[in-house]
This record gives sequence, structure tokens and C-alpha cells, in this order.
Amino acid sequence: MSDTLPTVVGLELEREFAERPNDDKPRQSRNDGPPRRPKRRRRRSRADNPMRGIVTGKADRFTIYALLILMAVLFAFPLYSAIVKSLEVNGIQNYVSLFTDPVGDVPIWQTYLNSLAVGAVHAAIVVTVSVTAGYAFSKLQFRGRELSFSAVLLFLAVPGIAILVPVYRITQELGLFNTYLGVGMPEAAITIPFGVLLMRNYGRNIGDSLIEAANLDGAGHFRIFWNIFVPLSRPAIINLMVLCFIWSLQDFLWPSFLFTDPSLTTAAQAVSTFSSALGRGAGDLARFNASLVVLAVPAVLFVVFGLRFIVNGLTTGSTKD
Amino acid sequence: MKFSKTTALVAAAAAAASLTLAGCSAGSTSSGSQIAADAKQTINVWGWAGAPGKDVMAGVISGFEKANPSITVKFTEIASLDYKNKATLALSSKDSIDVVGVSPSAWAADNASYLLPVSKWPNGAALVSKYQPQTIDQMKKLFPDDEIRAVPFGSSGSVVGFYNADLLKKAGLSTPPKTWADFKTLADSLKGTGIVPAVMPSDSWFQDEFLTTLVGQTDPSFWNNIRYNKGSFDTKSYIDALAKYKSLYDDGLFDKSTLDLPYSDAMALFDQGKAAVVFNGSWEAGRLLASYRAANKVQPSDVGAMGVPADSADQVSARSFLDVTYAIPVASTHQAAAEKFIEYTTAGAGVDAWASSLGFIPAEKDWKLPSDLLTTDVETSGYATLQTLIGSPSSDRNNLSNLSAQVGTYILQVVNGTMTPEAAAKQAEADHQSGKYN
Amino acid sequence: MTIREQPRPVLKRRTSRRSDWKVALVFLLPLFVMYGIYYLYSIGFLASTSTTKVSVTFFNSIDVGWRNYVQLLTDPVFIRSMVNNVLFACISIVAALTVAFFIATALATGVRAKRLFYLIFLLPALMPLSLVATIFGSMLTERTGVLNETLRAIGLGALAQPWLTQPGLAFAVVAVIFCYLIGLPIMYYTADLSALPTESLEAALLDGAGTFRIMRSIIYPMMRGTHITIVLSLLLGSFRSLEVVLFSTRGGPGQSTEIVGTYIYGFATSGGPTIGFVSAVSIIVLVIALVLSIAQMVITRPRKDMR
Repeated sequence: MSDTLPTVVGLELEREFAERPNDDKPRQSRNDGPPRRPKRRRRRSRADNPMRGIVTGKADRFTIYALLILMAVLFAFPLYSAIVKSLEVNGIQNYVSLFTDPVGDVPIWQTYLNSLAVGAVHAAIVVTVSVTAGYAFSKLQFRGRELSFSAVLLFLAVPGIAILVPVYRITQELGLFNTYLGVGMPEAAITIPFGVLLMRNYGRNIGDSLIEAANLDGAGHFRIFWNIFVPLSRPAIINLMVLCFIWSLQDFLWPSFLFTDPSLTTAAQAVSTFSSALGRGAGDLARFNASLVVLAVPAVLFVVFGLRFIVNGLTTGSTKD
Repeated sequence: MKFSKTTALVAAAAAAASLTLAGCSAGSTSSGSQIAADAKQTINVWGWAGAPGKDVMAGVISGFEKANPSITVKFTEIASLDYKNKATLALSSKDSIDVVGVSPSAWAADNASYLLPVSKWPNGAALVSKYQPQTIDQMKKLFPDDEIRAVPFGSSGSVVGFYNADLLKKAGLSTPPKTWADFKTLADSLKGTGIVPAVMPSDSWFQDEFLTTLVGQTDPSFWNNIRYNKGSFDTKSYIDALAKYKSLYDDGLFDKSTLDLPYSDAMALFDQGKAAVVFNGSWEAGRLLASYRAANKVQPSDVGAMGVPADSADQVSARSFLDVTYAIPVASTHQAAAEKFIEYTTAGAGVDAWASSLGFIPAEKDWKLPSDLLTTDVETSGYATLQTLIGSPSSDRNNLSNLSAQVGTYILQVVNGTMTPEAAAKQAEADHQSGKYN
Repeated sequence: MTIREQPRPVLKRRTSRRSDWKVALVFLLPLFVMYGIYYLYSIGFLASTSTTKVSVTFFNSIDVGWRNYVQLLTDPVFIRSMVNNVLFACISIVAALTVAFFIATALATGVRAKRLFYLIFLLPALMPLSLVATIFGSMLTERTGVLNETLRAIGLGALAQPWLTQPGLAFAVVAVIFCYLIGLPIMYYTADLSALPTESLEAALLDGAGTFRIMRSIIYPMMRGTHITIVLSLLLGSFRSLEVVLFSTRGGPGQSTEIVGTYIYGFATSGGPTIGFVSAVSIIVLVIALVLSIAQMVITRPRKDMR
């Protein structure tokens, strides 16, 4: 099965999961070859991948396959179900009509662009705030540092829905309804405590020696921040950005409250918009299911083509605690 | 520092994102300032899905634009469950809305101060005289000070049934069942066929609709009492109706396995010929039209309408009220054009364009359904039944939506046997009293 | 996780006497702005509206004193939704620590069609939650759902259940959806596995330990850092999973699967004068969230000091 997938995909993923994803760090614990593999597919030997060796017997291998396949069937079933339902009435025409005759005033691909745009605002705000605050909390000395850091972390578990009413009001006052900024900001507000925690922890792991040296050279904090801290924190920043995009893609709450313009509908919101626009009978129901399947396609492409990117980001900058 | 692929990707993504952003911010600023051009006006019309809905409104709008070449209409359709929130939001943030659909419920009074009183419309007084007087009376109930701030569009009734005429014929019923005893005949004839006698949306707000209809059969003033006179849910008639409703499932007239079907799935079951009757509001009356059935793959070849059966035929009734009304926001900058559109749509040449889809019965005085629309006897008598039910309602369908949704969850629990009718009535009344929902 | 924390600098920085507070203020300014707007203002606003009865127009506000709080804290549905939140969080944590761990480990052992497996397992977590939950909801209806139809078609009709109308089953359904969303934990484990020190694995292999024993007794304990990351992220995220319930069971049957998110959402979208009540709920949820955060800090702090 694996051999039937396009080679380029294979390459990306194979490298991804065979290697330590962080290219920057020394590869302490691995006993195999050079950091970059030749761009050519090859079967890995046992020495290549120590994990390969832990499957010791035929029976074990069989059990692993059996369990994986069972779970894969369970995991794939919902999508299968949506496909079945989408073909129940009118067949493939349901898919064609989604593109020729957009549902709910918004072309289906536009919803993903909207999610992406919101994600960009979300990520930009979170990264800006978290990196600067992370620097302050990890590299600057000032009275009350730990206390204020704790105060920031207090909001780690606050759910968006708890500040729904005031955000509604704030958005109204700032005139930000129907803008990407209006949705990106509250999303960022919810992510920032996590971002600050991440950047501060990452910052503490950046050796002080480099900074001290720069300090002795007479570099000011702003130069140190920009020329040393930011570049060294790159993996954590990427991690944060990836998470921001994923969370924006999944966020239903803010767009559903703060967007009224149909052309701004995000992918998560589209599910409810379409369900209301297509809620009137058998033909509609099939078409709605077709729209669900189409909405899932970008996620498939994301996993197939972007997984290396995601996992790279996720792993390199994670918190230790 | 190595400049890896990842960095490149991130940079690319960020660049793409910022481009998108730049594009959109430019777009959003332009929408606010359109007042300049005097000759050519664009009015923004807001309505919720199904009131009457975009495809139906398209016909109205194109007719209006032809008659008024200087006015362009931009119609925004919002999901019905989101509508109240979003319309409030848009009104309060002074979005440029010129015509806003007002749902006849507590929402109208809450938002009254955003809406221009009809007496201040350029041509308001004359317009009001074009509607049936009782619709104007209903209108007055919506606003706190007898000063109407919207004009009626159309009325609907709920709950009514739509039936598959072929399946009824097979069961030996020449007319739709008026009593539960008749309905039992239908249910018995379908045993073992895999077709359910009846289906309805399991959404809790609809369960409440069904129950208020049932209560209305024996206690017609029940809902008006609650709505206007501080009446109580905890009455014998309500408890009896709950018990009755449960017994319909227990006795096999209704099927419990349909109680997880949301609106569209319930309608789909009927459309696919897998249910003999679907209960819903009269806004689904489009199914009486052969053209609608063909376009929407509705399998039953002939569809009629009926009231919810009762213990005796003379008790059959429904609640009805205005379903859609139109208002002009105080903040609108095109009030004259907006009024023109409203007049055209609710009391002018535009009425036929939407009323022919049967979703609502127009509020316009002396309106008659174009005679060639309904072809079969079943369709014609079905439409007549709807007119009768809507014309002589048990109570006003002037809902407390949020309370309805809550009470509906108790009704479902009664059917499932996890709550007694008495407890449900008590709980409903406690919620009613609490002020949390209304 | 993959960062091994370096030993803290033993010597205090030479400049440490000098306080950088002015610089710090500049660096913290963006944070203060965001917190000021979205948290401080919010809390003040919520506190003041929580004692009123008002709609989202904020017109005609009526002062009702503590009534909203009293109603809220005596509402069994609210209490149940809090409990459900905790239960669902626990279930997703257990699923992540077992199923996700197994999937990540098994796939790291070089199985065939690995990419396909990754695609299938990660997909639900990378789609909008509303999409996943909607599909679950429609797939599980008793009469027309594809699951029951499939069961009947393959002769297992006896297993067909009213998934969404029996409170117990509906609860299980929501729990299962949470289990489908273990993509992120799988990714975390996958990444950590690729950085696993080989020596202990080889030692275990020499001992002749079986596959599952190695997974359980060798690899699992080695990933303590990842476990903690995952548990924390799921715990903190548990309050945020509105869509899972909203789009599958809608909190039903009989509000038995309601969580805090759907509870608030229902009142907030009603369009009626419920905003004061929503504010009171929000205040209570905020208090709980703050307590949760403090607990998290207290739990993780001593461990840091021991290092």
C-alpha cells in the first residue's frame, strides 16, 4: 500500500519520522548516518531505526497489525459514513453543484482561506506578544518577575466562552466586527498565556553565556533580543505558529459570534452555515454531507503534504513541563 | 544559523498571510462608505434562512430591481439559529442595514429602539392600511408601546402535518387522519414495512411546538395565558398533553427511533418515502407543489397537509402568528428606498413571487393564491386545511424561543421515560418563573 | 520535551543587581495591552453585568442583585456540565496516554503503509472539530445513521443502538469523539520516539523482552516529559471543547451530555435578556479556571526545584 503513494510524499514523511526532526540540535543519541539523507527512498535496516528492532516475534507483529487495522477502520468510519450519505440522493452531482452553485453565499475553498487569514492574525499577535514577554521573563532581571509571570499563567485555563460577553462588547467598541483582526485578537488572547509559558521556558534553556558576551560587547537588550534571542528561539516560534494555525482552523466560537458577513465564513463555521442553508430535505441533506467531505479535503492534503512541517514545529519547541 | 526548509515555509506562509490580510483590510474599509452615489443606491436586506430564503427572495429582488432600476438590493441570509444574535450585533454596531427581518418574538421588543417606528416611515400610514387588520393587531403585541416598528410580511402556523397521499391510500384512508384512532389505522397498516407512520424534528424547540399544539387541542388559551397573562405550565391540561404525547410513542403511533433526527434528517426521511407523515410548521408547505417536489427529489408523488390529529376531530388546531416582519433600522441611510422595497415585497407586485412557494401566507389584504399552482385534489384541500388552521389558531405562535428550547428537553425526557409528566411540568414552570430564559 | 533542560547557570549574572525594569516594561507592553483589554476589562465588565438582567443590546438593564448566581449554583444542569467537563477531560487523557501512545509506538516500528495510517489517525485532529462532531452526530442516528445501517447490513443488527437518545450511550459517544481527537498527542509521541536513546532499547532486546513489554516497561517510562505535556495540554484544553458536544449530541438527551461550553453557548445565543446570567456563569467559570491554573503551578513547581 505504501508503495502506491507518490514518491514525493513518501520522501517527506519518511524523512520526517525516521529522523530527529530538529535539524539544529546535535544528534546525540543516534548512531546512524549523516544528518541529511540522500533524497532517495530506501528501506531502512534495523540498525537504521532502533524502534524497528523492538518487534521481536511474528505473533507480536501480527498483533500490532491487527490492532492498527482495527483502529484505522474505526477512525476512517466517520468519513466513510459522510461519503455514503453524500451519494444517497443525486449522486456525484452533489459535489459538482457545490462548486458551480456555492452554498450560503461563500465558495467552499474561500472558507479555508478565511481560516488561514484568521490563523495568520492569531499567530502574528501570539508570537509578537509571547516572544517579547518570554524574553522579559527569562532574560531580564526585575523585581516581581516571578510574581508577574505567575499572574500571566493564571489565565492558562480560561476558555474563550467565559469572556464571550465582554469580547462581544470590546469588538463592538473597537468596530472590529467582520474583520480578521476582530476574530484573531480574542483567539490570541486565549493562546497568549500558553505562548508566554512556552517562550519563557524555551528562553530559560538558552544559555546565558552568549547573552552575557553580547552584553559585555555593549549590545543593548533590543539588539540582544533581535539578534540572539529571536533566532535561537526559532523552533519554539514555529511550534507556536503551527499551533495557532491549527487552533484557528478549529475555532468555531469567535467566528460564529463576530462574523456576520457570509464571505468571511471560516471552515469551522461553514459546517453550521451549510447545515442551516441545506436543512430542508433529502436533496439538501445529501448535498450537506458532500460539503462536509469537501471541507475535509484540505485537512487530508495538510496531513499528506504538510505533516513534516507540523511535526517539526510541534516537537522542536515544546515545553518540558 | 542554517536557513532550513522550515524557515522558508514559515516565511512563505507569513508572506501569503500578510498579503491576504492586506487584501481583506482594504476590502472591509470600502464597505462602510457607500452613501456618496445618489443616483444609484444599494440597500442591504437581512433575513434568516427560510424567511423565505435566498432562492425564493432572488425572484422578488430581480422583479424589484427591474421596477426600480436605480436601486440595487443586497440580500444577506443568516442561519436561523444565529439570526437574533447577529442581527442585534449588526444593529448595535451600526452596520449599514436598510431592511431587517424581525422575528416576531421577544427579540422584537428587545431591539425596538434600533427600529424606526412605521409612523415615521416616509409613507408609513398608507402602507399600514394595505395589510389585513388582524396582522397589524398581532404586530402591536410585539412592541412595548403599541407603536409598531415593523410591517407584516407573512404568517405561518405550527404544528401541521404533511402526508404521503399514496401511503394513506394504501392504509385505506381517503382523507387524512383527524383523530388518533384514524392515525392508528395508518400506523397499523405500515407495520413491518420499514416505513414509520410519522416523523418530526427532534430539536427541542420543535418538541415544544408539538406539545403546545397538543395542549391547544384541549386548552386553546394555554399558550396565550403563558405569553400574555403570567399563566403556568404546571396545569392539568399540560400534564395530560405530556402523558398523551408519551402514549403516542408507547402505543406505536409514533416511533421512538425517530427521536434523534434533527430537522433536515426528519424532512429527508419523509422525502425519501420512508415516513407517511412529517410534522412541521406550515413554512414547509412547499412540498404541496409538484414543482418543488421535482426540484428537491421529494419522492412521494402527491403530498397533502393536515392538522395534528386529536382525540376528537373538532379539536384539531394549531397555533399561528406572523412569522416574518420587516423593519427599517433607525441608522439606515436609505430609508425611502428601503420602504419601497418593503412595500413591493409585502404589499405589492413582489408578493406573488414568494407567496407562490407557499412558505407563508401573505399579510397583504385580499391576496389570492394564483389558481394554477396546485394541481391535485390532495394539494388543493391540503392548502385549504392550512389556511383554516392558520386563520383560526388556538393560540398565538408568539414564542419565547429560549424557554421553548429548554422545555423541549423535558418533553423528550418524558417520552424516554426518564421524567414523569408531572415533574416535567413542574420543572418547565420553575424555569418559566426563574426568568433565566425569558 | 525534546529539549533537555540545561543546568541552570550556577553563577548569577553579573548584571543581576541592576534591575532591568524599564526595559522589561517595554518588552511586556504588548502583553499588558492584550491582558488589559481581554482579561482585566473583561472581568470588570462581567462582574458588573453579572448582577443584571439584560439582553445583548445592553439596553434596559435591570439590577437583579445576586439572583443570577443563586440560580446558577442551584442549577443541577450547570453542576452536571461541570462534572461532565472533568469526566471528558479524564477520558481524553486516558485515551491519549494509552491509544495515542500505542499508535505512535506501533507506527514507529516500521509497519507498512505507515503514511496511510498516519493520515487516518491524524486526520480528525486536523479538521475543524465542528466537522468531526457533525459527522458523528449524523452517522449515529438510530434509523438512518450509517453505523446502524452498516451493522444491519453485515448481520449485526442486534448491535444497532439508539446511540443518541440513551443518556449512557450518548455520553459514550461524546467520549469516543474525544478519543478520536488524539492526533496532537500522537504527533508529540512520534517526535519524542525519534529522539529516543537507543542504548536501553538494545539492552532490553538482549534480555529477550517481548514487544509489548518493551513498549510498556521501557519506552513508556522514558517519555515522562511527553506524558506531562500531553496531560497538561488536554486538561487546559478541556474547557474549550464546545464544538464536540454542540455538533454531535447538542447536549442531549435531556442535557445529560452538556458541558460548560454548551451550557453558556445556549444562553448566549438565545437573543433574549440572558446576558446577565451568562456573565454570572462566566465569572464562575473564570474562577474555576484560575483555580485550575494555580493548581497546575503548585503541582509542577516542586518538581522543578528538585531537579
